[in-house]
Amino acid sequence: MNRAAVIQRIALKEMADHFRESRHRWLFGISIVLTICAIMFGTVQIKRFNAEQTASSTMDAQIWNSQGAKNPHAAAHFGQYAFKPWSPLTLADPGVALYEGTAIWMEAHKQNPDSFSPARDRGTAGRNATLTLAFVLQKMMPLVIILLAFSAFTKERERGTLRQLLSLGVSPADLFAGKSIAFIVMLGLLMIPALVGTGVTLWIFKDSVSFPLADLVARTVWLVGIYALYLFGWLAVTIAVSARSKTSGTALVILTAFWIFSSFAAPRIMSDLVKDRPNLPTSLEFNTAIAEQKKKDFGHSTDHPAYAAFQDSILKFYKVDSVSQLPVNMRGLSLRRSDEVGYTIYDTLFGQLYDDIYQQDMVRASLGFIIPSLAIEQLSMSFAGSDNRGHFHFVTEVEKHRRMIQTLASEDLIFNAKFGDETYAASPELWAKMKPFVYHSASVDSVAQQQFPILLVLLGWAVLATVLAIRSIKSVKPL
Amino acid sequence: MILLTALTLIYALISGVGFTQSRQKSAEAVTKSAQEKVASQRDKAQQIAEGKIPVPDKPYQDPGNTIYVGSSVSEVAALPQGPLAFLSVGESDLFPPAIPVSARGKESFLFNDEISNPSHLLTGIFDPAFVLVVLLPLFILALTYNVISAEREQGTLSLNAASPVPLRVIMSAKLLVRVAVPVLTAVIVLLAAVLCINPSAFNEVLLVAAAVTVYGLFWGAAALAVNGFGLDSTGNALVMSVLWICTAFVIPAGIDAVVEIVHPAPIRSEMVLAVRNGAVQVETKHSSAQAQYELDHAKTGHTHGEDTAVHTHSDPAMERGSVQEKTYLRLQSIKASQVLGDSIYQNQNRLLDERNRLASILKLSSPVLVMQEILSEIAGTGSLRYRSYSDQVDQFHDSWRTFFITRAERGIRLDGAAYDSFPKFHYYERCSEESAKHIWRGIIVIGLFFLGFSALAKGLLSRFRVAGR
Repeated sequence: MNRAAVIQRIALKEMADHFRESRHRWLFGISIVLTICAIMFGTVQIKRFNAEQTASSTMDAQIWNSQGAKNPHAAAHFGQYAFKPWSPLTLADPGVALYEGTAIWMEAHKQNPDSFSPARDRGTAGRNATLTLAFVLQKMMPLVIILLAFSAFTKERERGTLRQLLSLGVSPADLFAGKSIAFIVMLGLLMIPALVGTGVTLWIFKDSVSFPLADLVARTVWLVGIYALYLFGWLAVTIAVSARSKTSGTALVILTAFWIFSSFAAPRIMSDLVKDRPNLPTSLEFNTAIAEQKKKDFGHSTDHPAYAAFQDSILKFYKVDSVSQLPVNMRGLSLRRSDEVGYTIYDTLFGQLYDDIYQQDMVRASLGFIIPSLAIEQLSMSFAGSDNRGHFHFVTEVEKHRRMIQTLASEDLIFNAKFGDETYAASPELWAKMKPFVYHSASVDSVAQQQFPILLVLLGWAVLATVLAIRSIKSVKPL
Repeated sequence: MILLTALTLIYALISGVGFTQSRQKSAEAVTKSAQEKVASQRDKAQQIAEGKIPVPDKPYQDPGNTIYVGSSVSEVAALPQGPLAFLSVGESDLFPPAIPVSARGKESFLFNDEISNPSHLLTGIFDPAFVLVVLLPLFILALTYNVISAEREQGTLSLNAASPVPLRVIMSAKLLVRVAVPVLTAVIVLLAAVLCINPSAFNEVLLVAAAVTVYGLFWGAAALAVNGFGLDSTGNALVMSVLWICTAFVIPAGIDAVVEIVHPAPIRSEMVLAVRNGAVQVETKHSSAQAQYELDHAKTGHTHGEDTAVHTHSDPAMERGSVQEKTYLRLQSIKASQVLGDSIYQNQNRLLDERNRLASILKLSSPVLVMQEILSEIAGTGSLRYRSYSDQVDQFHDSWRTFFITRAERGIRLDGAAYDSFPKFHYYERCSEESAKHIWRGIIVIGLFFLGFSALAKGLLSRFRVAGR
């Protein structure tokens, strides 16, 4: 019998054994039920959330357009709201979506933080775990793998069949290959509901303006790839431990302890360890830094040297002696200038804040090659579009829109308001020009680029686990 | 196991204390900043009142303009930390440590967050509650999963069964010792920590010790019952792992899903939109009145300049773009937010109450969630205390807003004395009784789980086949 046939026989026997065992049938059943529940719950959640966000956005647009004639700067202060939609792939992993704000107020002079994070109203049960595909794939599937494969070698050893097999000329490598193929096929079968469910959900949301279908499909392919690496690593480690352990009990205890540490304890410990690397400012410190920098960089009267210099430059540009002689409105110009100065400050400070958060996330995930949950959590939410970086993309897009509103409002003042006219009011047509915010998500390529170091970390996990498995198999002993 | 339990708990205590200290500092800084702003405005207002400095041109720069001041300065409403706050972070990491309350709508301050990395909020903090609720059962299970099966596998079970003392008594005694190791270690570490950190909370920590003991007994009884099925040690470990993950994660996830489907969380932006709509209505109404006024006066030949001196706040004849008009609009807008926003807020709170009621009932199905709630309530970081705090902030907001609105409506400017009489926020512990009820109810529920599993174990052990399957 050639090697391929031997491996095939081993794989088929292993699968038959597992399907025959009622304990494993229960395990398969529970996994599939959990997956289906997670998909159904996730789809309902995303549909409802996005419908609410769309309704809110429509209503805000109506309110905005219903403003009568008024000073454009007053309208800019009134501002608009930007509502964040959830990507359909939030189904695969809601990531930090529940802990991020869902709307941002775009008002004059100020880049506001997001508000209305759903987690506040969710209660404690949801903080332990939420019924999501990510929970099933990241936490439950490794346990399923452990429960299926912890006795892959120990069982043969305990029954004495390992000695028989080796004496028949079956090499440990063939045994490893055959058993691995069996487990991979079984896991593949378990993954079918997840893949079908995700496909159906993508189809439901195929017309989303914010999330193009092609991009979602590419992200899904990435997700499949990273989860395959993650779960393969778990399988390899499980087989390695089984090959090295003398009894099934020992293998199970070691693997369960590692699973608990990796899935539940390590993420908290790592969050704790990286929270000061770098340290994030408090809201008060952050807002004070902005206010002080703004005060330093520009003012609203000639008492401020930057304002006085700006006014002089304008007078020179138009070759006039006083503000009253200007063909444009000085107040509008100064408001635009004030905003522009603010943009630099906001770009710097918000950029720094999100860079710090990103750095914390990267440091946290860097140990993912030995604690795989750290890497998969980060990558999964990134490709699902529900990580901090994805949120920062939303924040940045909203800020671009806010700046468009500010510029239009200031320019209307600049070119239409007369000097000293406190009663100037722009017509409602101007509000119609300032369309409501529509989000367009970041491309999958930019995500892959950002997450490249963590992709290497996850690859490291799979490679390390495979090396460990191969070494363990090579030294496998029948007793 | 003693070392592992002690070390994890000590690390968690350090983490918990660090978290509470940073929140405390943050709350103090917010309070100080708000007080400094009020003090600075107060001085200027007094100087204006005494005629030492002129009234600024812009209403938002005028410290005497009642409604602008009411909506720009604030009184900080901070929730004082309980003596055992370090024990359980609970929901506190989701809420800012202090809320600056102003006369603007509730939406302007209720939904603001403290800066934090959302990934860390997602994973949670390695606090003592995590160790006691999630890890302690694992330590117990690691010591008890083979309490009977190992005896059988080693061949010593028959000897025990042959003794005159019933098997279940022997096994219960063995189990008690194994449960006592991590539980007593945890209790001793906790007592020592509280004596070092906050000795005044000794009574509360005794309550924690009682809860931890009952919780430990529950997991011990569960282990005994699983052993009673007569599986081998591997089978026991497998069943217990599944029991642990179901109780700690799968059931909570299911509860969250059911609650979310039956009573979805309220749409918080609804309040903002209502308030914004109200503000536009105020402007539109004012503009219409003003346009009508101008039309009428154009017919009679009057102009604004002739009669502004007799205008009142509600008079449409006020100058467009004037301080008076801006002040009037700000006041009307705040009043509109009071009418529109508050009713939505009350309605949303009612929805949340319904949601919490359902969650509270469903939580009883998981001893892990019950234990978590007990610890959060003892630590003062649970939902009951947050709800009470939130209600008190709401009431305080009403009094703050009324203070400014009534003065603004009467056209009263603020001077130093008026600043001194600004309402002050005081937090009152109003939910202690209800919280105590929840704690005791929780302990009783876990006790019932313990009794249930004990009865199951007793039944199984009385029919236990020493020779194995």
